[in-house]
Amino acid sequence: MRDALHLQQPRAIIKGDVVHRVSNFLAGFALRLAPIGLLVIIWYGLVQWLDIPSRLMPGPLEVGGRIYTGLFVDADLWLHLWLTFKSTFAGFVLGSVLAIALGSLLAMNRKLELLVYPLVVLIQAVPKVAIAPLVLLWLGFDARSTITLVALICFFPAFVGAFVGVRSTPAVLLDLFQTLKASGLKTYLHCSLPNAAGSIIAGLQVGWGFALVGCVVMEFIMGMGGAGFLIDNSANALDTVTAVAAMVLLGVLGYIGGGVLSGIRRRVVFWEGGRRHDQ
Amino acid sequence: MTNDQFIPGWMRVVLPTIGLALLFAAWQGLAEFVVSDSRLLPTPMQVGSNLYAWISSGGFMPHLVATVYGSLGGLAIGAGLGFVSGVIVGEVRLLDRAVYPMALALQAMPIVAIAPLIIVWFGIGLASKMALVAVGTFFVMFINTVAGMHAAPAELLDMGRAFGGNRWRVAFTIKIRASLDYVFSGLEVCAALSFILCVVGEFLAAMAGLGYYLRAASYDIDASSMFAAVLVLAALASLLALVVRLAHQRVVFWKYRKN
Amino acid sequence: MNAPLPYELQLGKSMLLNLRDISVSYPSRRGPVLALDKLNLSVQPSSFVSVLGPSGCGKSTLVRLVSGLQKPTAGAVEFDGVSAGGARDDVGVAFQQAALLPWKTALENVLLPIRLTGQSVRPASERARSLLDLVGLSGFHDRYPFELSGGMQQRVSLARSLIRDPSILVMDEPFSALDAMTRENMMIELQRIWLDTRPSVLFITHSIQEAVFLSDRVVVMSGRPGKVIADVPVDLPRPRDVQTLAHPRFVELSNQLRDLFNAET
Repeated sequence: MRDALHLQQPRAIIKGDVVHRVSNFLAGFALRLAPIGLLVIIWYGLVQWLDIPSRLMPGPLEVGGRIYTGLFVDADLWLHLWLTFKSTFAGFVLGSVLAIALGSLLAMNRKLELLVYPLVVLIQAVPKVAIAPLVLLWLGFDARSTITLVALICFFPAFVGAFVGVRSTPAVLLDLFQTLKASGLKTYLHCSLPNAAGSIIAGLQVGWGFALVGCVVMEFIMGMGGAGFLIDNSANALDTVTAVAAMVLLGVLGYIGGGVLSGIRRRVVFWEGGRRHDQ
Repeated sequence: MTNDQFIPGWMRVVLPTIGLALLFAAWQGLAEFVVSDSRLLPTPMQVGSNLYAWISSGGFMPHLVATVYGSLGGLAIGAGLGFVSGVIVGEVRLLDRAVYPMALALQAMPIVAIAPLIIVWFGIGLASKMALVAVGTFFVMFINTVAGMHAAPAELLDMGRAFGGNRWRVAFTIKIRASLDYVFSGLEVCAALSFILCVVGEFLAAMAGLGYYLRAASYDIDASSMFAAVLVLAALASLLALVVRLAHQRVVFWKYRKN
Repeated sequence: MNAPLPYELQLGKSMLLNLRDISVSYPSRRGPVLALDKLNLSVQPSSFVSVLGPSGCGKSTLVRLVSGLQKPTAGAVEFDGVSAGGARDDVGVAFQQAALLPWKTALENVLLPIRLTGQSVRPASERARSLLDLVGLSGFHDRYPFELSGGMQQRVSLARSLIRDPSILVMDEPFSALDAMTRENMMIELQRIWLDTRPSVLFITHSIQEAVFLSDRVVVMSGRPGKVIADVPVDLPRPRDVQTLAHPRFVELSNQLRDLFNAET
């Protein structure tokens, strides 16, 4: 019986593991690119077939050209994109950190949860974009307003992720830490937080999408820079090529952020969905 | 931590009430003593009286109607079309393989970004708001419906075919019912999204609407009116969310049954 | 047969555990519930005591009392005569579920008690490896819980409960979630491990076979509110093995306990 255990193979390094991984990566890459390629083809087809004037909706070639010049030649698009990224990222980090802290705290203390619960419900009921003009009024025409709105708007998903994740820590693990006389902080850092990691990162993924929305909306009404400003400004000037180019770049920004978070999730929460040896 | 916290029944009511009271007290304190400029931060009372005066005056209904038509109208169109398209695509394998991944790829872009373009196409009036909401909700509803169709359990489908239903019968009676949970979850997202998109559209260019009113009030540095408009929006959004949630629970009743 | 233990594992620490007039009641929606009613139970140093009882009789509450998760409403939990309050470093606990941290390897899980009390991990590493060998998991120290079967996870949990060289080991139905074959193996393994280290053991189970095989005494509890209704010494010689299961005295004791148990349920 005990001997049977010792017959298990130790983990072997698979030959050609690297080749395997690279070809998997390329295949995945192609799989992800295919729908976008199809989209571009359909886009091109529609614009040609329906003979849509470029001032109304430009075709992919024009937009591609504009992106190229905007990023690599004149670099004017780069500036706005970078501005949007900075504000979004800063607000995202701020909002997420606060959300995780508050969510964890409320999950661990039921009395505090009941006390703060009305505030959370109220915050959730208000569509955050409606607060944008107020934030602008209070904080003025600079990055602080954008960062604040972004933080407010991406707060909730991360909050829920942290709350649900920490609350779902198995009671037996909490008991274990209690029998080991671990302090509340140690229990949180070594037990509850890792347990909540998957839920938190899922909340962050949703939050990143929200964050971009908040940033764009603030840039719409602030009118001072960033991808949102660019889209609004160029659309008003009927420079739809630039507007669509900015939209595409925003999409890329959203996609990259989501991808990074996915990758982080896979590496951090590695234990979900694993294979088992049987005794 | 939480496993040994027993909260008696009365505390479940008292603590939130205290929390709410503290919130109002903090608001009042901030407004009166810290900011003390009612144009920037009105007290709760001032917001209340502003709201009352606004509703009683003639200047409230046009804005309310514009926003409600824009968001609900767009929602009806977008979610309706999105659902129908989703059912069709979910059912036709070729379309599913081709179109669904495209939709998923497009998800990365924040849909508000197309607002200025929609306004260029549809103008300043109600049509552009409805169009914007329709596009956004179509998208969400479409993806959710297709995902729901994918999620129909194989056993149910086999059963349906075994009972001799033809292909579309099977689709309608089984796949759609099984996907309703996803569909209604999507509808809840669309409900929130509809107000967001409508308000953003009104920020950019409009002649009426709660978002328009909000923006105008910000130019006048009239925070009371801004607060009032935000409250109305919050109430509208909450009401719609509640209605959709209730409908979700009634239609997908089997999910919420406690066995 | 049994290889001599490596130096780090040669122990001999054990304590007298005494639960004196223990009553436990807790609040609930319908008013206070009495879980244990003036219960008296003692475990002599280096002896193995099992507790048998129907579901809901408060067996798990015993574990919570001894491991410091809960304080009694009345009465005292005494270690070598001294009344205790809260968790102690010299009590090892094994729960019903393995309760391993899924993001840590088997070795890291065994070392968790060391790490949490701030002690240096490196010297304890050798001991942890020896313990994993002892429970039959050599070569698995770098596996994660999701790579281990239920029985293997319980072995890690057992090793963890031994890492700090406890004087008292309290185990709450640790094999109840395992299949029958694994349970029997684990029961035999546990005896082997215990014979080498011999802490005082309080072992909760609802398996009469386990209780008789492993223990020096079997305590039978009543349904809620829990009281001791019988304390049966097991006079079978050690070490016990698979043959013991068919020994007439084993069968006789099992029947006796079964009758007591059934009278309660």
